[in-house]
Amino acid sequence: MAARTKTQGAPRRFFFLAFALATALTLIKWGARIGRGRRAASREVVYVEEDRFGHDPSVRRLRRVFAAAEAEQNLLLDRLNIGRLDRRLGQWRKMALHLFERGWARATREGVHLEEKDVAHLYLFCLAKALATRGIAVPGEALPANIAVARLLEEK
Amino acid sequence: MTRLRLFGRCRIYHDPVSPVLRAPAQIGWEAWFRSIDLVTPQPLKGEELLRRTRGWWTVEPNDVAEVVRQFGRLVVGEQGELMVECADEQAAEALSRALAERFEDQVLLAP
Repeated sequence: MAARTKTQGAPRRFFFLAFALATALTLIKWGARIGRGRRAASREVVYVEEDRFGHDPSVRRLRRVFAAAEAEQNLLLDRLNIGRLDRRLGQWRKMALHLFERGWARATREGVHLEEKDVAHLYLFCLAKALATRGIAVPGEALPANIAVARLLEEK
Repeated sequence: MTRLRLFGRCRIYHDPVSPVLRAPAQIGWEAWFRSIDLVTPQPLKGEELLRRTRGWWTVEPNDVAEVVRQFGRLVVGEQGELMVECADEQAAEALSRALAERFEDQVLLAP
């Protein structure tokens, strides 16, 4: 009788162990998936909504211009070893903006056609000029060779 | 203490923009049984000004406030600029890194 019970109990124990193991593995897998999802969600940039303005060609053009100006600016700051949180940047940017708007308006007035890269170059020249007025020399090779744009900042 | 301006990306042109409180909100009053002429100018607090960027920035301002709170506090500068006040430069740099990690290049700290 005892031997019979032993032979009947072994498959049950095996079944129970296999079931417990499978359940544990499933729970671990679910836990990892939820954790990954949460981590990914916390890292993901949540935009307010889909891009409603990107279909407009003039908006797309200005986006490219601003992005190019920002990239050029970052390259110059890196080259001059100026940190993004440097206190002086606020004043320099204000000055550069003033020159930039004046230069762009002058190009329009004088009928100088500016390509997207030219506008970014113009900003870079303006920033370099702002830096120079505050005693920070910008080496010539750090600036693009764009004479037509550089002329826009020359005094008449 | 160190103060830096908080910029987000414009939803239209994607360039960095920051709100500036040019004039305090003008709060008037209406009542059931009388007219009230009183108008009280109400300056906004930092978080209130940040919330006004909803729909103008590419990201949700409440999410930004949540990250900023861990490193400093939102304030309105003397000229009405939206700023973050941190204990020191290290805290400001840590916040800048945290913003980059959470929002990539959509939210920026700058002087």
